Amino acid sequence: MARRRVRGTKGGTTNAAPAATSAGVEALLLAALARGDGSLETGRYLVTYKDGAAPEGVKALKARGLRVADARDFSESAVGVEDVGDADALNFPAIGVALVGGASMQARGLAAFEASADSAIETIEPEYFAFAENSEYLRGFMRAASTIAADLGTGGGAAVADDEELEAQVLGATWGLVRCKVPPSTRSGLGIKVAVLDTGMDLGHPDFPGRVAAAASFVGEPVQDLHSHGTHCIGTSCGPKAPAGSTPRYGIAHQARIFVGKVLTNSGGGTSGSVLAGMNWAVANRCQVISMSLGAQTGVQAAYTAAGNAALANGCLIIAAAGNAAAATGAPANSPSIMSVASLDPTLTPSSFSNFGKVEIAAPGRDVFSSVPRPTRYGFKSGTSMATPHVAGVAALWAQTSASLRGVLLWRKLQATARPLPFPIARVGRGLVQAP
Amino acid sequence: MAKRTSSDDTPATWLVTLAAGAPIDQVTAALTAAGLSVTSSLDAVGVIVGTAPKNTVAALRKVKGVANVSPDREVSVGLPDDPDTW
Repeated sequence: MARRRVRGTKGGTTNAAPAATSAGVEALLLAALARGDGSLETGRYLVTYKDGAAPEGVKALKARGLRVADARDFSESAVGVEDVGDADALNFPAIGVALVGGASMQARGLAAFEASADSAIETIEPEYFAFAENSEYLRGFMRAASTIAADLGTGGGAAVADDEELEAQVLGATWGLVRCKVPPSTRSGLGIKVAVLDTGMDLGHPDFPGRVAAAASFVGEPVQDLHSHGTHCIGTSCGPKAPAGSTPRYGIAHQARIFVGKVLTNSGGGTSGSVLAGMNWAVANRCQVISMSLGAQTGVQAAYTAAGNAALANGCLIIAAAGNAAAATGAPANSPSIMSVASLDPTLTPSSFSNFGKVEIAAPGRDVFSSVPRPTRYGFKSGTSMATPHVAGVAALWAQTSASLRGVLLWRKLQATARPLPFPIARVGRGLVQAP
Repeated sequence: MAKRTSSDDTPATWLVTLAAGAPIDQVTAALTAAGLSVTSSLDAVGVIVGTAPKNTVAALRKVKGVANVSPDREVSVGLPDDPDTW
């Protein structure tokens, strides 16, 4: 276990989050997004000592009244900034750097150190967030490129690649939207409320100005999505018709009103209880379409079935992901009152991971391009989680065509208009969802 | 009679599903009287969430208007930025 020992003066002021040395990354990110200045600064500072002057540097910090925790005091020097408690600064002697909270910096006037010639301190710079976005993006992109290449070849089995679809692909829409016949559709989801119950949403994403009608959290965290799953699902179901620049169209119901229900935390977890609280909120708000890209590999849960029935009775349709365990459909999608969605590859074959058994309909779920939180903004994901918002978005388009298409009638319309596929119903249901 | 274990006394979270048409206010009151500490009454979907020791569940199931009492469960979509999801 790591030992913690904070050295230096006692009784200094305690810094308030988010700029405290010990603040978690989530708190810092939320504060940065709240600032809204587009900067990637964390609000903390990195103090670099002059060459070989690390001991003098620490003394200088302490002389200014800072309580300094030292990485050497932790086993193997493995210290997380969350471990330093109320220390003002965390010293890394091996690299000659200290991390100082922004509030401490202001309170102690450390900026003055930098200017003094005899100081042991070389520079004081803002700390920046680090993201691993490129690895994921590139991996997804390479996979998508290879599947498209395979699709363009002679293909095998049920692979279908007619000229019309390929042309649309070139014109700038994701493979999923093209396969669902979304680009030629004149419908937009106008007047339809779509609830997405997930990890929340990046409420400041540039592709969604004025689109969120309501947002609520049921997990004790702000709605702001620090996970990415929720923002991705909302992008597919409700993203814009024409994103800026060269970004392809990835969203379906581009004029639907978005209801963001955060039922999973920023680490992607939750409980049936929090999910049901979100379902209750969506039904109470009479959202005609309720998208749930979540679940657990369990048998039918009675509470989900009741919620699905309540939704249908109130003109709402709950659409849920079958799951990615390559096993029997999980809950809530296995409830008879909830529409279950399986995942398809770009070749229109069932994805290897897609659950089976109780499946009503299928949709694109492999290498799906959509929105993710800033600063990355876009990325690829795979799963029945990605197939589900394709169905939800198309459901909003159909719901717009007639006020009678609600609840179970909307369910039947989606199935009746689906494109049949040469696979068992247990794998793909009635087939590939199609836009009106 | 099953042997009583300490876990029977540990509070757990339960999902109580109402029978169709059951009045949620009355059922909530009856469940409270039967030992459920109600967290939320979800009237639009007919579900009550609450905590109670396992050894009170039999009594909860006997409350009029209750169709089902099941343990709350974990739900997950995987870790942040994982390209593979639920």
